[in-house]
Amino acid sequence: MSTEEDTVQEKKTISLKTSDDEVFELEENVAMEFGTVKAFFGDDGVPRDMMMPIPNVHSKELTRIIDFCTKHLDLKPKAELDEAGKKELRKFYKEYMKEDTTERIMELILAADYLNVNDFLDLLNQTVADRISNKSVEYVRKLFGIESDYTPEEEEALREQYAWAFEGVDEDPAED
Amino acid sequence: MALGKKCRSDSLKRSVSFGGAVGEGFVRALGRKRVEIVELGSPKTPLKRQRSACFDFNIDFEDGVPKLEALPREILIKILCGVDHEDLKQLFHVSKAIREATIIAKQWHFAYSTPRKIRAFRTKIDFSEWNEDLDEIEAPNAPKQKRLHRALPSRKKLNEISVNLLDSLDEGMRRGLFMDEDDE
Repeated sequence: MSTEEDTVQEKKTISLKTSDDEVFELEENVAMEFGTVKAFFGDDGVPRDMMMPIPNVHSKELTRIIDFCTKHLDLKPKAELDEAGKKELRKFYKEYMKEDTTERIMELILAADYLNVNDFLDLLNQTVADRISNKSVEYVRKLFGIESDYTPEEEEALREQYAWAFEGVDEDPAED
Repeated sequence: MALGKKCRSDSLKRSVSFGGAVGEGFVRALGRKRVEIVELGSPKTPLKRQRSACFDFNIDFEDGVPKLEALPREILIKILCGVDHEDLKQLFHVSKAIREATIIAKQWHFAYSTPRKIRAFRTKIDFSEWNEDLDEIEAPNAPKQKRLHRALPSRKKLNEISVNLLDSLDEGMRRGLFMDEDDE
């Protein structure tokens, strides 16, 4: 009982308003994982009960980012304690983005970039990198909807120059 | 699974300032306003990022599918930093904009890390660690390891070497140099 009394502290929260006018209340420690939020409130100056608008972020993305940060905040100190913790963190990184479409990841990247959530952004970037690793040029183009802006002549010249680049490439997987 | 490589975003931000949104291609990108990349921690950061993010956010979403090129150039480069060295050559061919970003990623990231993919064995090494320590393992500017067949040193030489190493190890331990070794 005394422990409960000792640890009860008013949980400070920060309010963020998304592009679709939804207001999220986050625990301060989670919100401070967002570099943009941290900079906004600073050490002093802007009062913490002021609502911060984040007009470039949709509630859908924010929900996911909050989810990541909360879980990450929980796992990170454990990872610094022992090997089991490290393993769990690694597993978390491996599994977290498994089910998402590349499109979804792009949306999250833009949001995480705007909010300056470095850890999540690193994970997202690496996920994309993994998905284009060792894939054919056509696959990468299709994945991202890019049209080649090389003329056929330039393409031919490049192919000759980098013929070895096309060796040992993965077969294009099924539609993402 | 490929590895967590962190692009040295600090140095990237400090000394590189490049064109704003990579839009429809190389030529157009040149015409865009130059967005200065602000150092991390600067109080100006949120506003400037807001502006540049706004700038990028409003374009290049075709049919709701965000294009790779729609990403801020900086992000694109970070992504490409995470791609294996060998694959960068592939990416040259995707488009001119990607090629440009690939070149920058190559210069920035690969100047500071040893390419890991070993062509001889096509399997990926599982460095499933994902933390800052990884950067400490890499030797900066280390040359790519060449798997050449060399004759192993003779046993006699090996013995000499091992003895010397052990001596210096002892010496080091006496001096208390080897501290905080992880106990496995």
